[in-house]
Amino acid sequence: MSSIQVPERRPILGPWFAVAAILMIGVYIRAIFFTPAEATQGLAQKIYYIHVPSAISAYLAVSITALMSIVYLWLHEERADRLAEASAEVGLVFLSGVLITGPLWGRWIWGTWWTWDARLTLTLFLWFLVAAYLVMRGAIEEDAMRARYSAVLAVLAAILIPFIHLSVYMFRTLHPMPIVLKPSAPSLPHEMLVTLLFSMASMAFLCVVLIGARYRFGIVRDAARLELTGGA
Amino acid sequence: MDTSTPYHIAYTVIAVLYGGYAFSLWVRARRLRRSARAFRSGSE
Repeated sequence: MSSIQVPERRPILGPWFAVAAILMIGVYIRAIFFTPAEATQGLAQKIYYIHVPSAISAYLAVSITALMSIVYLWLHEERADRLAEASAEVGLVFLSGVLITGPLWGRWIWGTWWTWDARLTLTLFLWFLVAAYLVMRGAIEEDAMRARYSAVLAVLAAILIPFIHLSVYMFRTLHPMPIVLKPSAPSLPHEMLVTLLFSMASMAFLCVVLIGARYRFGIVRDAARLELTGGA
Repeated sequence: MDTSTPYHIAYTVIAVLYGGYAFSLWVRARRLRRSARAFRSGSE
């Protein structure tokens, strides 16, 4: 029998998750009670404080996946592959958040849930690529082959990120232009800007904490697989 | 529909999605640890 044992002590969700949850509650309270409503869109505009940070966090997670995939292709380091997988799964969750909150906001300000414009379509395409990455990982049994194929797909998927961000400049689109992440100064009132930056930092922190949790889950899963199958 | 309804729905969805994902990780790991423990005690 294999001598590897499933790690028992390390909690999957540590104290940092509690910190992230408290920060997210703080974001909700600040956005709802301490941030003024936008003049034309009304209270529906407050979706902005979770929609944009979810998108930034998703980009962060997919970028980590691509970076760790490059590290894997270079060094064949198993930990890099596991971290890439963890980031991809968390990235998919955050991309789902973007694709759910966007239509809820769009229905209110555009009068439609969805339109096939460049940014929305490319974001949906990235969601499918990350989903395909995870499905492919589940379908290939041989470890090295799975890591190599999925690493290549992850790098290709991450190339979409700059195109998604710049799509509003490159194509005619319904989606608003960036008002913070742009070369000139942010064109957002101070109180709204503070809420947005607080939300971005909190959600990026939550994203990193979840990637850490998913990485530890990967260790437990792999150890359990080895222990239950005797390393076969 | 009141203008606050979309953001109430959006904020709830985000809390359920991200919180639910974290909870699913905890549940899946717990299940794996339990089955490994059962396997270990069964093979002793």
